[in-house]
Amino acid sequence: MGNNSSLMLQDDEIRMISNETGFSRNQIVRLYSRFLSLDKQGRGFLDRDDFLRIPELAVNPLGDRIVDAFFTESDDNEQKINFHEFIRVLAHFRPINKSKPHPLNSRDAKLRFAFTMYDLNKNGFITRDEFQVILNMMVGANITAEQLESIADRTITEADHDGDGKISFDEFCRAMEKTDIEQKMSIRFLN
Amino acid sequence: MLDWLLVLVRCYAAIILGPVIATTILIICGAGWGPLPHLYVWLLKKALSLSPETYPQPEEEVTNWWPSIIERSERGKLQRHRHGSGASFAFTNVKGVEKTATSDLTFSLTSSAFAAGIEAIVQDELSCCFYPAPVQRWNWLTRPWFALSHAQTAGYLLSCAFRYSVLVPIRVALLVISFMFVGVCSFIPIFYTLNKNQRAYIGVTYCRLFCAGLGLVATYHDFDINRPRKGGICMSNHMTPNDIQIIFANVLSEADKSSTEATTYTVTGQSHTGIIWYIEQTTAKLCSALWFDRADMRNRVEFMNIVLKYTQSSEMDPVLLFPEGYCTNNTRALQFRKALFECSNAPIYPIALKQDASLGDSFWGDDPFWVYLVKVISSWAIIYDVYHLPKMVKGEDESATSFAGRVQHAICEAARIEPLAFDGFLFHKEPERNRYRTQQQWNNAQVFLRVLQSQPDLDELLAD
Repeated sequence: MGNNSSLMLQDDEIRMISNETGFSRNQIVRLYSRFLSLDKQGRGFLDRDDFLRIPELAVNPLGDRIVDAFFTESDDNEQKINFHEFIRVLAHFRPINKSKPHPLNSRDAKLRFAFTMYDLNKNGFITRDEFQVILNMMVGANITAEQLESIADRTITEADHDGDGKISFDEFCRAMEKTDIEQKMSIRFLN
Repeated sequence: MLDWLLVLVRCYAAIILGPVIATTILIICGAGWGPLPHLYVWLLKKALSLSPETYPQPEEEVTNWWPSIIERSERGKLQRHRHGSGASFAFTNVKGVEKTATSDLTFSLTSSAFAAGIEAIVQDELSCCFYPAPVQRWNWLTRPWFALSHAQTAGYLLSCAFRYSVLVPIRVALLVISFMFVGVCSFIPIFYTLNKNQRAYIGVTYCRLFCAGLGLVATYHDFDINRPRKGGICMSNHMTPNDIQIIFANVLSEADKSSTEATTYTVTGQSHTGIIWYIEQTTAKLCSALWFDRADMRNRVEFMNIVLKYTQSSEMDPVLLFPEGYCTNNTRALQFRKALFECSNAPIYPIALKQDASLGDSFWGDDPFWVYLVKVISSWAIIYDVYHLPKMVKGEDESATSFAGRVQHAICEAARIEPLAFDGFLFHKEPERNRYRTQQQWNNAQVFLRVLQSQPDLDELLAD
């Protein structure tokens, strides 16, 4: 906890974040503590290296894509994430509470965030090339290029319903119906 | 006007020099302050219980007071392999591949990887032991994350003034005295050979002065019952480079005081430069010491061989080792280096260190040593509980890995911290992380290869 005033969290900020994201005060304080510990140099923001210092993320084959998705959400070109942006992304992963629905963690919001992790250039479609990049990250050098193409082809063909050779957001949602996306894209935050 | 100034200066000097001289005399005579430091700590903790909370307490009682933020899902966890030193994510173990459509499998596997990554960003097992653990109540040592009222700011500034003008000079004086003490004593062997007991006395007095200079208030449990004996190995969890002085300060038991040949420790550690190098040189004069370079492979092997030789002789003092290999923050314990557990006959004397960080955290992250020392000296107090655990011996058919795990669990239970299945290399060394990532890629490849073998050709799929 440095002396930098930008690292302070005021009470009204907490209330604002709580309304915006749906997290409780305790959850926000704990996530802030986590943010500060990742921000080793006490600059008030996180960059790629700060994320990839987490061992379980660095050994995850898709670690780089996940970090990219964080920076994409934050909407600026500088590759820096402050605490507001950090907690906004994590808000997508709050479990859905049917009695207290919230726009940031609705099923649609979760699917849209998942979609950005596949759609590298944010043009609204997942192309075969984008799929191949992700598959390449998943399997490394253990599969030949032809086999990789074959898997990418099959995935696209099975999911592509309008025959345009790429996957739109609606086709993605339909493909994800079989994997329980609400459970996968939810983290059990403790109170 | 000048008279008042003189009176003030004299008072200040008395406040500083009084405790310094009293402590030095007490320690050199082999006595101590008794319950007074504990009373000081108790008073401070009572005062701090009125301080605002900086980290929310969980609703239920938890043994590890630092509560989790999330409950990790089973599928996203990195699990150790039963044999060998690898680990895999649980989601790479996919069943029923043959019956699943390719697109379902692709989306399922990739979305599991994404979910595991996001969970790791919020809470992961390994990196949380390499930064100082958050304290539950604000301890007035640094500015907290919430805004302070005017009264609190004034109080904070006053407490800073008190700590830096009273506590720091007293402690710096004690540290300087401890080094001077050893410096003076190192001239004695020129005239007169010291026997083991005398060297032990000098070593212990130096350590006690040094610990007093750190502001340490330590309670040693069960030392007389579980005293380490010659030819054994002492293992402890590691938090600061000063752990050696803290453990050494209590090495003389009642029995030693009446015997002719005291048992102290054979001190070991990573060789450093700077202030720590000076401390290491000093220590080497007083007791047997082995310094090695962790990065140098050959050096490490030689070091292991020397340790083994020491344990086989009944003359050499028990070797004090820190099998974690890195300093951790006393909320978790890294997996122990198993090379140290290969020697089958040497009994292991586990020592568990437990810190109460509410009045000052002495965990050493990656700041330079002198910055760290200033932080420690300017805190209220460093509170340690040192537990000497009963001796443990490797079983007949027990492997080094399982014996290492047993010792780790014993230490973790006594210190009330969590044992980890991963060691410090995964956090500090990139080649190790690359090795783990390659393993995950291989796992995923196996799943996709099974899909390719079991599913019909793409052409057949498109035929209808």
